[in-house]
Amino acid sequence: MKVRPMRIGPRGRQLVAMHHPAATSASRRGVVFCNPFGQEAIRTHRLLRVLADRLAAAGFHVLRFDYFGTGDSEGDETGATLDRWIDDVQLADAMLRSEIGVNSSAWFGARLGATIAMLASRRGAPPERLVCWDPVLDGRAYLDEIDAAHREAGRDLPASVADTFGSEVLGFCLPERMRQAIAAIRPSALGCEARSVHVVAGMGHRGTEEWAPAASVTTRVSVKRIESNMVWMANSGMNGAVVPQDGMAAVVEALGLPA
Amino acid sequence: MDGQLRHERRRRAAGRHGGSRRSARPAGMIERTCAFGDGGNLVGTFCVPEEGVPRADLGLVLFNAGFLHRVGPHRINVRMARALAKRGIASLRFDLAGQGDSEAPGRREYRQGAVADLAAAMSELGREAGVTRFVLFGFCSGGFHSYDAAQADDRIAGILLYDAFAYRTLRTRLNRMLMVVRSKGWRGAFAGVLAALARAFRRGNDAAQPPSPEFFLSFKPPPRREFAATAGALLDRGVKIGMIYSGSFPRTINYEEQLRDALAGTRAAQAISCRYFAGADHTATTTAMQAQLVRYVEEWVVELAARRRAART
Repeated sequence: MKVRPMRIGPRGRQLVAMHHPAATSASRRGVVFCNPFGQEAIRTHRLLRVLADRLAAAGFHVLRFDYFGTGDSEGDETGATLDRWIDDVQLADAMLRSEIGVNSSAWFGARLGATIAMLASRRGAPPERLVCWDPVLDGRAYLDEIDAAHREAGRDLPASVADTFGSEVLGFCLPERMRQAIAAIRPSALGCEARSVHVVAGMGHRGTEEWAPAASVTTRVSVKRIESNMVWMANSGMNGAVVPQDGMAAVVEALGLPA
Repeated sequence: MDGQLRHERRRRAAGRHGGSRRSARPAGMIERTCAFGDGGNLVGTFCVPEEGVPRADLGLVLFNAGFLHRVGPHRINVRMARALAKRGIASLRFDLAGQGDSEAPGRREYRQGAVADLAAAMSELGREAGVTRFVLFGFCSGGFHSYDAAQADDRIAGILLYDAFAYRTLRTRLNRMLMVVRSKGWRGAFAGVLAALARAFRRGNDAAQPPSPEFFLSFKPPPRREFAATAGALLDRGVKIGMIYSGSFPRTINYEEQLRDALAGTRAAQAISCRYFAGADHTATTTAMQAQLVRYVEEWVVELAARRRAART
């Protein structure tokens, strides 16, 4: 079935969302997709579209959306905060339930999107299940990684790029308050309220082994390692889509496991 | 047909809004995301000036750059659309069939399909915003689609192409050699000259050079004489043509007057506007580069709208 464009939320901070209707019209299962940050969201748009189509064919209503100040949604990134994006996840889930009629929802997030989903699960109604692909578990390490990607891209760019270190990452503003909020993310303090959490981790992903035991005190945690090592943050993307099949298969499997 | 956005603009202007005063604060534009086209297979976002902002009879169509979806590299299409709305220019940013959120097309030739999608986008923008003429901003591969569409559709008043057609001149090669000498010394420059001679021998001199291996390889620019002729025909029809180049491909384009020199003696040489942003890369990776590009496109489109308005009075 065709994707259905929507705009959700109050005027002045409307979010653009895409509803992928479930192939089985009677389905009441749904998934909210939580995007990664900045250039990672641009690079993974195709991946998330393909994954959403696959889940819709498997009987899930899927709602992809752009946070405030990102993608096609209202606002720009200077007005974005982590708190606001957490609220956006709750808004998307509420929309999935009230407008589309889902009564059992899971949230899927990649990278910072997975972390935002975890944080959102502690605020308001949590999902039954969280699926996280390479979640950001250590904010400082993540900032080091994306800053390094910006510096790497800047080697081929004019010297003026040096002026942007710290305030931008590969074409997107990173306001100081957002940077501080990300830096505060620590494995020991990153709990979530979903009934179960399933982590899909590439071979290069770090932090899960430190985070999982603490998280499993309050929720059931599973971790699946995959061969692909997704390069999330890079300045390329125009000349080909990145769609690692083993990661997608692991996410689909995680969403189908009993809660 | 009364477009939904025109109804919304009138409703807002009358103050009959259901939200709070804060949410009714004018942002200068109204946006709507929807499916349109044949069977609703295309997805896009309209961005229309709010009531009270003087409107032009000119709409801007933005679409995919390579494989990236309709928001553009680093969201630049969104920034551009909103800047133009504040200047009275409505726009539609959309995904070609099979890209972004649009459905895959049935069997069809790729370039003809893109032209058909652009035609559908213009029709839809015309209905939504009440405009009858259009500018296409073609980013990279989109530059070639825009050029194809301009030849097929009389509604197009202007095309502005980013890192699309480029033809080397002797000065291009000399500039490039100087760059190499500065960075690698004379030995490196000499090696580069030998490599360039080998490439030229293999390809022949009249063929246009694709801007770089990173470009959409299915889009080989036509020979310069052919381009001059087709561009000349568009100019004769009154289409404004503009080229913008980044500094990412110095082997192929490295000074602002290059296209004029390459097409010397033709109408296109003088009539096509060119701008070379030597300090910008292909995807305008910093917000400063994006702001520079948005400003240039904004002024280019607004100037065309003003010219058209003057011609009608």
